[in-house]
Amino acid sequence: MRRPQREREFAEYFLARGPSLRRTAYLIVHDWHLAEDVIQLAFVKLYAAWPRVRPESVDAYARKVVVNECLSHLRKHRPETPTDSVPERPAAEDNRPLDLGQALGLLTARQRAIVALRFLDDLSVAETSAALDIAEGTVKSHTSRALATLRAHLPELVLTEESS
Amino acid sequence: MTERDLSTLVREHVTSDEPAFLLSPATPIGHGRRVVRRRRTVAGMACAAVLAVASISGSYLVPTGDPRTDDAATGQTDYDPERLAQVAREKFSAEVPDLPKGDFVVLDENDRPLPSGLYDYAHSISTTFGPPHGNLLSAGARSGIGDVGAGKATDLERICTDRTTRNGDVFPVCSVSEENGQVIVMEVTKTGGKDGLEAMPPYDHEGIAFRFSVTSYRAGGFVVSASERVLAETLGEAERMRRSSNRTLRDIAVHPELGIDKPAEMPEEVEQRMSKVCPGGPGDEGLELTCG
Repeated sequence: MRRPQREREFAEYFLARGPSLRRTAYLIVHDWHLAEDVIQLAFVKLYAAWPRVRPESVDAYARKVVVNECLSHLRKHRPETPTDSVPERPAAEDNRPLDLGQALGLLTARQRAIVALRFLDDLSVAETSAALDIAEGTVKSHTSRALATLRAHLPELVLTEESS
Repeated sequence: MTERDLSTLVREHVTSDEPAFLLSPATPIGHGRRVVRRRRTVAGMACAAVLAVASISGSYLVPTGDPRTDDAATGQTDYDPERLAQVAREKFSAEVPDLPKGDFVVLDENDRPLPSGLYDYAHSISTTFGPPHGNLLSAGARSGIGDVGAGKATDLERICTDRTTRNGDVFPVCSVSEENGQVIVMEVTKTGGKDGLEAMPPYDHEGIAFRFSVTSYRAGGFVVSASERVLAETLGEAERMRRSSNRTLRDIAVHPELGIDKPAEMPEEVEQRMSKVCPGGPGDEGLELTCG
């Protein structure tokens, strides 16, 4: 395939999928500017790999690159120190909107990535496992821990049992 | 209390303050091209040597009756990409008397190195002077940049402003001007270190570096640029250590004799012979060239 055609297809893909990939990145890094930087980097890598990525797997590939870029960035720039104890939840006022952003901030980066992939992108456990290169069991255990943390901080949130 | 599933909450959370998506595909395409080109330049050196030998022996180009092919085969063309190397050497030498011997590379649209007989198919040309781990002076021209050309100053200004305001450590300087139908971008970029851009082969380096560059976007969809990369911890130190001035970089970038013709379409026969010498070359099989 000639380069102009490849680049046309790449540009169309960028414009079509860029916004949703940016949302996935945002949920992990929790900063819109950073999410944009991350997807720009991810799309540079996707461009380089574009000729050898099969059309049917391009979405999975792009998502994987974006999530890896997010996790890699957070590893380099914001090393997390996970803790077993979770801070006290501020007293909730009646009708106060759920502060999901704060609660997500208590999760580890990988847990946020799993939440993003499973609950924003609607991926299955198997697809999430493939996107993160981790075992399905690890996805389930991380999901379970993430939900436990969210439940602890968002009692207003009644989570339906996850299906695997 | 309302029971709401996490998916709904997550979507509401993400979309509640979502800014408009203003990113342009031109940015990743531009950076992506550089990444691919740099990876291939290294692997492609051996390929160029093989092609050059094949060209001399006449073993892979047979006149076909197609004037474009035949011109390419005989090297008879008015277009002289080597003029870029001459002008760059002349301009840089005025400030750097001990300018080292330069490298000169001409690449096709798939970033494969071309021998001199095939310059009609050139998409980019570049020349580089300097040791791998010192000040590196370079000049280049590229065609087929599409929508980022003359008359697009506003787009480039937006990119510049975006870069300097959001990531001023990596892009400390970026300015856009327009004259004689050319849009000229002067910028400094930081590579290496914890927060710099990734330095790619063959221009990778230890530690931090700053790249001073002037790029002229011209009508017809091509660009000419000149730059100097300086290994330094800070921008101030790099400013003191640089050997070329912005004026020289600009003189090269806007030089009226430099440019690159719209490349001829490579005939299938030449394409096949190129691929035979450089299997995997067109980029459809992967990033790495396995030729030579």
